[in-house]
Amino acid sequence: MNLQTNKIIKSYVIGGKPTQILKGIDLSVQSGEFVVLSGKSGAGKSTLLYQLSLLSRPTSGQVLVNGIDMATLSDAKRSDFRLRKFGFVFQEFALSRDLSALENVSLPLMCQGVSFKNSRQRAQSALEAVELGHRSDNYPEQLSGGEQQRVAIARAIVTEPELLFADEPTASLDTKNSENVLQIIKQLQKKLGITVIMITHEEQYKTIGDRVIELEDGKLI
Amino acid sequence: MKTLSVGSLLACKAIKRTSLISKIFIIMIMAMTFLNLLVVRGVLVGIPDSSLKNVRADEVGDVLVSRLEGKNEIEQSYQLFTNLDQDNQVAAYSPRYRVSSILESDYGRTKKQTENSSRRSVILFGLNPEAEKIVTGFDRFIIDGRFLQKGDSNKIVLGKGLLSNYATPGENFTDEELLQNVNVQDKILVTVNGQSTEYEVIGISSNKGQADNRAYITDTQARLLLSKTNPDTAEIAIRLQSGVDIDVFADNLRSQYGDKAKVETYIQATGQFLDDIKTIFDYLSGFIGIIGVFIASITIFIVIFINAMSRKKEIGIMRAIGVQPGIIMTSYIIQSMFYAVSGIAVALVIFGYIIEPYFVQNPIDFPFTDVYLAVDSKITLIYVFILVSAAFLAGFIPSRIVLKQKILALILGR
Repeated sequence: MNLQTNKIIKSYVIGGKPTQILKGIDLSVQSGEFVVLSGKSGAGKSTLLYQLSLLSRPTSGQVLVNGIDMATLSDAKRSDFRLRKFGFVFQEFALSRDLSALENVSLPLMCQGVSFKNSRQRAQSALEAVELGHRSDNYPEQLSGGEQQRVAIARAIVTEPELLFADEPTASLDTKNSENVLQIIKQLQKKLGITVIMITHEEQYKTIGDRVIELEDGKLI
Repeated sequence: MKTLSVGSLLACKAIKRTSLISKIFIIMIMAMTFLNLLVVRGVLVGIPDSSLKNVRADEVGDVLVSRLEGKNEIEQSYQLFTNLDQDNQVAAYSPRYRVSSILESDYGRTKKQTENSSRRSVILFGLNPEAEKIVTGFDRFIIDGRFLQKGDSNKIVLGKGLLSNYATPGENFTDEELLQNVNVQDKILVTVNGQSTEYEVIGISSNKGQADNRAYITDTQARLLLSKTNPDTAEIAIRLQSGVDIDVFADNLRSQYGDKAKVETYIQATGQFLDDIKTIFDYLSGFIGIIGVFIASITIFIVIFINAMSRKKEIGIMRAIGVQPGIIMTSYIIQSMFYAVSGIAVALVIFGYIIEPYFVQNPIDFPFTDVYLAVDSKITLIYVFILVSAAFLAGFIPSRIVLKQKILALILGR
């Protein structure tokens, strides 16, 4: 999946004044590429990721996915696009506390209309891919932080997305778990051939990507 | 279909993971609300409803034919009797004579000046004992002694409200208006048109209605007192076969005998008053019930709203990964409906197996009637519909409020 942006500007009203967070970002990500977004706090990394992943609409400019301008899609279409084409891993583990690991992972599949039985089979395979097949019946509070993040990765890849967004996936993890999670993401990217866009502000993890894009004050440098 | 199935799964899991105490608490609130609806209406509507049923069962039958205003009796009653005998819609009928009389007790003894006179005016009813037993089951109302029998001569049954020895003080008459020192087997003096005759009291009647304040003799005795040579009566209580439309029957009878008698259904015979009271109490109980439903809805609303607000981030993540808002909303609505339906089910079990049987065994003792709970399955269904609809809104509105927020606002807690 090719992703391209065209002069993205994103402004928020802060303290009654419009403030530009992104100042005309031009970016192109090729299919199968692992891109690391980096920069200091407040540089606009997360804001850029939200525009690319269709969680927010830019104030101006375009986000083009395979040449299609995402601004032309309705909210429902964008939601469906995220469900079928994108995978998400967030900073915090972000699992539903009422669902077991298996149910959390199978949820996107069921939302796609995959049968209950098939969803569970595929979810079990995804959990095994992150080495958590044996914890499928456990609820989030019964899992460690690292395990919860691996469940979140399994949930992100279970739909076989073309593009995986990871918003500082190691932010809440210790070093050992961080390395483990990043290795899993890297392996899955290679194995599945998916495009990955990951935010990190930790220098030692930047090298995991094929390319590092640095942001500063809302601009690429 | 997908929305419903995934929404149901999320709802089931959320309910399963809610603490048992919380579940019981919410379900009991719903159950108490629904019981409140049923019992308040049951008692309020039960008062006029029970009175109306008692008047129908104990006094006037299904249809009451009575003399026209200004007349002493129903003209050509015999013709009416013949028709009623031939009508297979009629289960039984009881002709009644009315005789104005003065009853007197203690008449054989010289009283002190301070003693009450022990005389009072009473309408004597002349009954066919066998017919009256079928139409109103009058013998059920005898609390002391026995009911009249065919061939009884100079025997009288007195309502307990006429007698100082039986009447509840202040309930019917002041003590000065009661016949003093009268018991079963005592003699009293009955004066009709200036002619006095001694009667033996053979029974005391009470049904918390008219039977408390009337006196009864046989129809044969009444005709003698009235010196009647024809069978024309003052009123006829008619009991119809079950399933017969009372209004239609009364209309037909009215069309044939409307110029000779007043034909009324039991509702009309009670002056429409009780039926109107029933309607008013129905509205009143509905109003009280709506307050209860409102409180229950607010309770569910708060529970769902707090739940949804405390899970804003979780909801935001769900939406981010593509879970449709409809699925999340369906989940909250189903949770809300679960608590409402469970509460209703618990309430119906408590009502059907505990409260209603209790009131059947122990009706509320009102001065003018024994009150049973009025239960109407149609009204109950309406209450179920109202409570379920309120629960639907109580699930829909809070989830809608949360889902209206932008995904990033939910995830980032803005």
